[in-house]
Amino acid sequence: MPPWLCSNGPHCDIVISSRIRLARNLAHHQFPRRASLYERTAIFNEVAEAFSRANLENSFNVVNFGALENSQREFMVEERLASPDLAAMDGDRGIIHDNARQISIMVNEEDHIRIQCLDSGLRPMELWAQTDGIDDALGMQIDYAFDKKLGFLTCCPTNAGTGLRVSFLVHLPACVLTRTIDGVLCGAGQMGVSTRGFFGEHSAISGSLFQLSNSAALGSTESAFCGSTCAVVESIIDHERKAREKLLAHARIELTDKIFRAYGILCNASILGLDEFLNLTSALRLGIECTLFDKCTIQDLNRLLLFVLPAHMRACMKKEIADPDVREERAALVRLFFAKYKKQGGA
Amino acid sequence: MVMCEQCGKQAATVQVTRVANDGETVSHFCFGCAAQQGLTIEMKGSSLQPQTAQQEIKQDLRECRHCHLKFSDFAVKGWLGCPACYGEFEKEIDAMLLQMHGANSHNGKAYAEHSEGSLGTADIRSLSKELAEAIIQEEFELAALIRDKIRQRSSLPYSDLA
Repeated sequence: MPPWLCSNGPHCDIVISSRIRLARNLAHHQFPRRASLYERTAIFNEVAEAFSRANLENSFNVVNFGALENSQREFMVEERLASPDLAAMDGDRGIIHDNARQISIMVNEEDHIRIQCLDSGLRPMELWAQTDGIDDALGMQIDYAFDKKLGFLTCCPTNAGTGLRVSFLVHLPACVLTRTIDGVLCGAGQMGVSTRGFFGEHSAISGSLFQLSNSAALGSTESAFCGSTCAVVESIIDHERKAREKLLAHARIELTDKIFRAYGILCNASILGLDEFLNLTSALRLGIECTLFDKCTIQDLNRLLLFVLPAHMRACMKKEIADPDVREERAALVRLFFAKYKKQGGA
Repeated sequence: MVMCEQCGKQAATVQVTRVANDGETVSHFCFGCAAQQGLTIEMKGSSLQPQTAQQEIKQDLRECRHCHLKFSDFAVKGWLGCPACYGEFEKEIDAMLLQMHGANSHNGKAYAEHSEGSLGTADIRSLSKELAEAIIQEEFELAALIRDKIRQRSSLPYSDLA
C-alpha cells in the first residue's frame, strides 16, 4: 500500500495525507503543451539523464507513459503517482518514482518537472525538506528556468515563484453533519487556502474528503507557505474535533444509526458507485474514530479505498468489465471484504 | 474628414489600433473596408445607416518572439509557451501575478545556472542548450547528433527511453 494511505502520521484521524509538490522547467525548452512531440522526447531524455547523474539515495524507476496501456496509466493515477493530465497527454512523458511510491517526479505534464513527496498524516515540513533535497540535487544537473525577480518560471503563472503546492487530504464528516463546513472552508479561503474534492481539480466533494492547498505560490518563502497553510489546517482540525465532540454529546444515537445503516448497505448492496462508496465509508471512518464502530479498521478502509477504484478493480478482476464505473464488481468486492471480516471475528 | 486608407473614397468611421511586437499602429477604414478585412464591427447608430457611426477597435497581435505563442491565445487559455514569454508579456503578467498571488516578487529559494557544473556536467549543459535550439529550428538531423553526444557523456543507460 502506498505510504500516504498507511494512516500512521500525525493527526491521521483527520488528515489522511500531506503532499508537497514543486514545479520546475528547463531553461531552454518550450513548455510541454507548446513543445512538439520530438521536443518532448528530448525533454524526457534530458530529465531522466540528469536524474541519473543526481545520484540520489533511494532507488528510482523511470516509467515512460508513452509505452504503457491506458489501464496501466490509470493505475498509477489512482495511486497518486501521476495526475490525470499526465495520463491524458501524448508523446513521451511519465514519472520517475521510488520503490516505496512515496516520491514521484512527473515529466512533461503541465511543466517539464513536477517533484512530489507524499506521506500519511500532517507532516508538511518533513516532506518539504525531502522535496527540497531532491530539487537541489536535480537543479545541479540541469538548468532550471529561473528569473531573479519572478522566481521559478512555470507554464501557468498561478504556479510561478516558488512553484510550490502544499496540500492536505482531510476528512471532515462532523463539520459536514453539523453544517459548519461552508463557514470553515470560507474562512480557509480567506486565509489563502483553497479547496478541491478528493479527485483533485474540477472534482466534486464526496465522502467528506477535501483537498486543502495554498492558493499563492509567490511572495513568501517556501517554509512560510508550508507553515501558514499548515496553521490553517490545524485550525480546521480543531473545528472538526469540536464538532465530533458535539455530535457525541447531543446526537450519539442518530450518529450510531447513520453508521450502522451505512454498514448495512455496504454489506448487502449489489450496485455501488464510487461516490456512494466514499459517502458510506466516511460514516464508518467517523464511527471508528469516535469508537462507535469496530467492525473494521481505518487501515482496512484505506486499502479498500484504493482497490475499489476502476483501474485497480480491473487489474484485480483480470477481465473486461463493461461498466466504466465497475459498480457491480465494486459492490461484490465490498461485500466479500466485510463477510471475510465477520468470519475472522471483526476488530 | 479622414478618408478610408483602403479605398480612399468613403469617410473613415472605424479606427483600428493594432498592437504588435514592434509597436502600435493606428489605421482608419470605412465600414465596408473594415468588414472586408474581417474586423468585428458593432451595428451602432441608426439601423438605416450603421456605417456612419464612429467605432474604435483594438487588436493585440503580439506574440512571443521565441515560441510564437500569441498573446491573445495566452489571454484565453491562461498558459504560456516558454520561459521567455514572461519577458515578452511582462506588463500583463506582472498585473496577473499581483492579482493571483498578492505579490509580484520572489522571496523563496535562490537558484543559479551552473556554468561550471559539478560532476563535469558543463559539456552536457552546453550540449543540452544546443539540442534545444536545434529542435526549435527543426534541424532534426543535427538534433539527433547532439542527442547521441549527450548520451555518450551520461553515466547510466536508460533502456526505456525513446
